[in-house]
Amino acid sequence: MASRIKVLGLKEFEREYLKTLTTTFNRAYYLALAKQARQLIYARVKTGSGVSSDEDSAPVKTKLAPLSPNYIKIRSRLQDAGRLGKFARLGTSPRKSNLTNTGQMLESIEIDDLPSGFRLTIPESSREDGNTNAEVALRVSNAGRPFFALTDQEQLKLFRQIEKDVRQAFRRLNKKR
Amino acid sequence: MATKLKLKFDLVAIIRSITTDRRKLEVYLPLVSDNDFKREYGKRLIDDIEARLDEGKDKDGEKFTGKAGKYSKSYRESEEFKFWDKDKTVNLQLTGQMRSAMDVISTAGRIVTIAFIDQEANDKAHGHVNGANYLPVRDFWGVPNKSQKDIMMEMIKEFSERETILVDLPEAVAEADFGFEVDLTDGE
Repeated sequence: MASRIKVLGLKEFEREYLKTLTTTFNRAYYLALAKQARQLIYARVKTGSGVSSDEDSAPVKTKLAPLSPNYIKIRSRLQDAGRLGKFARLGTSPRKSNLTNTGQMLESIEIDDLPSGFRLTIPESSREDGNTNAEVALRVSNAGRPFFALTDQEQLKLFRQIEKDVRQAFRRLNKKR
Repeated sequence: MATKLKLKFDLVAIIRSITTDRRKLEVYLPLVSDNDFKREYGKRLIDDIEARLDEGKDKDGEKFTGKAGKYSKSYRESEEFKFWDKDKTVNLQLTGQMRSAMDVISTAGRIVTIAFIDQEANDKAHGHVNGANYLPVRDFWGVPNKSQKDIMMEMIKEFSERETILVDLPEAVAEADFGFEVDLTDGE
């Protein structure tokens, strides 16, 4: 009867699991996730929603404030001149409150690579009107149309994606065993 | 606010529908007291629902047909459709938030319960399942019996292997190919 049992090779086991994690969650994965996060914000705003401005709780999706009649007139003129949404991949209409005038701000969202993830930024890049995209983003947010955040539901969607990928990676590893 | 949609799965009943062999049941049924097992089972049921939706299929694995089988022209031409870069497959996914909100909400006793953890998502799903606002019924909310059994068998296999290693270490180690070594020397 044995009085001692040594279990060895756990390091190797651990290494295999870590390898699975690091090959799944590499830079390419972060980038794909970042693009998905950017698309979530982009599509939400394009469809007319921003985020709540209450800083004490997770942001929730809220309808962007409607445009004033005067501003709608200005946008109609811009549309006639072919300038409304000039830089936007996907357009807008004069009455649509979706933070798309020329389209430069929403198209400018950049992805920064971080060691532990990614960051989305609206850069200080210059625009036709002499402002920077970051300035315009700050201005519209302060003027009652905050938009640059991930809502609770958007965070959940990204979290679910990561969770699913982790589970799949480990299931693949288990099958290999 | 729509009624809360819930799917409940009785794990003991599912296992008993797979086998009546007493020896097998003695191995399988104890798994039902393992919360990790139950939670993972629920997650895989959700994966299964999603996999069917990705193929445009309902809870019975049948393709959505008729009016339910395609999105209306006006919806396909809407800004939403373009902005979310949606394809034509009827997969009930625009923003993806409804589908993301499916989760295992309880693993009490022998029952695994799946539901939506977000009221808005629940209401949307309720509309699809029962038809609302002139939209066709697209009942995706369920898992075919065969899938329930297949997933159960797949998991029993995975979890029983683990159980064997823990309960019957020397034998399991002898078969394992990832390098356990057992020191069977006597005494200190």
